[in-house]
Amino acid sequence: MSVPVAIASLIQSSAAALDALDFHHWLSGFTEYGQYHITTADNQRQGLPLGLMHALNKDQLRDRIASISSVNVYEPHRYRHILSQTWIKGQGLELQYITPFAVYRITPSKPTILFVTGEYQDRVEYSHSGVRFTYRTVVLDNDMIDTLLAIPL
Amino acid sequence: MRIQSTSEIPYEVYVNPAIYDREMEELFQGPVWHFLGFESALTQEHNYFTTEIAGLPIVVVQDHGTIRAFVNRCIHRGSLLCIAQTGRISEFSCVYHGWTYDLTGQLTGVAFERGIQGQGGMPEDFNKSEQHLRSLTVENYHGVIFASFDAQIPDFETYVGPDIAAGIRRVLPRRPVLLGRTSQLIHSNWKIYVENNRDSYHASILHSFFTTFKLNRLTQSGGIVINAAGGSHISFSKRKQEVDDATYDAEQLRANKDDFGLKDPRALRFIDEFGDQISLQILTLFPLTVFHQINNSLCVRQVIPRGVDQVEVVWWYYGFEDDSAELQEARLMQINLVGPAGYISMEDGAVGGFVQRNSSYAEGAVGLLKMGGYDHLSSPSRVTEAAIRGFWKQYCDHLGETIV
Repeated sequence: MSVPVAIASLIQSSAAALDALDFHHWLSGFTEYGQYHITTADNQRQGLPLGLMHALNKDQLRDRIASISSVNVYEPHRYRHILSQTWIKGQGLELQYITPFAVYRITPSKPTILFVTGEYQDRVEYSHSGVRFTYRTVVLDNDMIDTLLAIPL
Repeated sequence: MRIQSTSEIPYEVYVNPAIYDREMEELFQGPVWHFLGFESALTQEHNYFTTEIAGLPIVVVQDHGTIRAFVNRCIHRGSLLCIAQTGRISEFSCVYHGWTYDLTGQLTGVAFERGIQGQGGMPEDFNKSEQHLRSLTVENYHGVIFASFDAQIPDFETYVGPDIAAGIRRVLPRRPVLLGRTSQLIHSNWKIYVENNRDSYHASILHSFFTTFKLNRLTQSGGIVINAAGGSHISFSKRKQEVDDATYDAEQLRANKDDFGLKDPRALRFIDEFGDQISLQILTLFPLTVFHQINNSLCVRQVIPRGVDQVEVVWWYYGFEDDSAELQEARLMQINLVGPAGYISMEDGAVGGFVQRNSSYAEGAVGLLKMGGYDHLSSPSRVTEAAIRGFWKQYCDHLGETIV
């Protein structure tokens, strides 16, 4: 089964939006009740529910964007996502689109670092206006975050 | 380099490798207690997990209900004994040369001890029964495992004193279970991070999210408790008991942004699970452990120095087996507040690096810790640096005022 072009495009444009700090565009990739979680491979493997971010709907994602845009204090930086090819895992209600990634972090006057690697585990929904995420879990390969994680992945 | 006063700390203390070496040898391996993990990870016979104390590999194992901790190092050539993070073993067996130890740490086997056909082997005077892994003193305090390299150290409760012990028991009413773990690498000396945890003055200024949502204004009722040794403390505040908002707003802090509201404020919900209205308790244990309660987020932060200019913070979020669905949801939602990605804590990951970058060429300059006077005593005010002064008092008690 091949990945529909619209879904591959959603995953690519979501990463590109974050890299461009275009949070409005990033938000547009989620349905209103779309969930977004960031956790680690270790926590997921052990069935532990807590990770790094936990949003149960799009309003909570809007809150994240509002907070990092106007309240939180950190050195300005941006990401560069390198995505690998999306593949399909499971079927029916269990079907997920899996996309491995590497994210570099670019901070002015500092060396660019390999920030995190991991994979997206996505579920999507089609509507008349296009395809959007209903459930996106970002699973990081490593437990360790360098300095802080303000901008979503 | 001399620390002449606990209110004037030379920046050199954050950058001098000779000071770091003394801390590794004399402080961390001296008469202090360290967090190792939760008892709930060792429910089955012969379960083990590996961890670290200040970069020293440690293995913790349960054997017939007794929890023991050893330096995870073969006495022969120094290889790690247990490589995985968790597992079950009936004995320790070194992969390098096959030496084995029982779960009390006693050496039981040496491969080719007698050589082969009378050739080689260990000398006659080598006696296995005299050989033992380096073991630590262990205490299981309400489901949390602590250890010390010092066999003569006072028991944990005596070490922290009655007030701090009560604060720990308050957040450990039942045996804790792990809900998730993450870690954060901060580009500063470890002391800048542990000072930050004792710094109740910064919390509502740097962490503007706190104040924006009235989560922790310095004018809320609360206080600071510092133990007699100085280095362990509790900072706490109660929800919705603001005494003087006008004073605060007059400061015109960046933190007060009236135009900012959350679309879904569930992350800020506070369930008074301990029945005392305290919604925030930051509790530090000298030298490398922090317990936090932020609303219903409960966590042990394990501080692991990684060289003179880096420190790793491992966040052990916990709850209890009998948590209600409502309480569990609150703990999950509040991951958005705390940790490396938390609205109210992410800045701590960066600010330590800002201090560190200025510490290298400070040319004898000192950092000032005079807020709230010169003492290191408990107080109802959190506009004080008393708990940081207390840290330096205990630090100097261990290493002397002349550090190098």
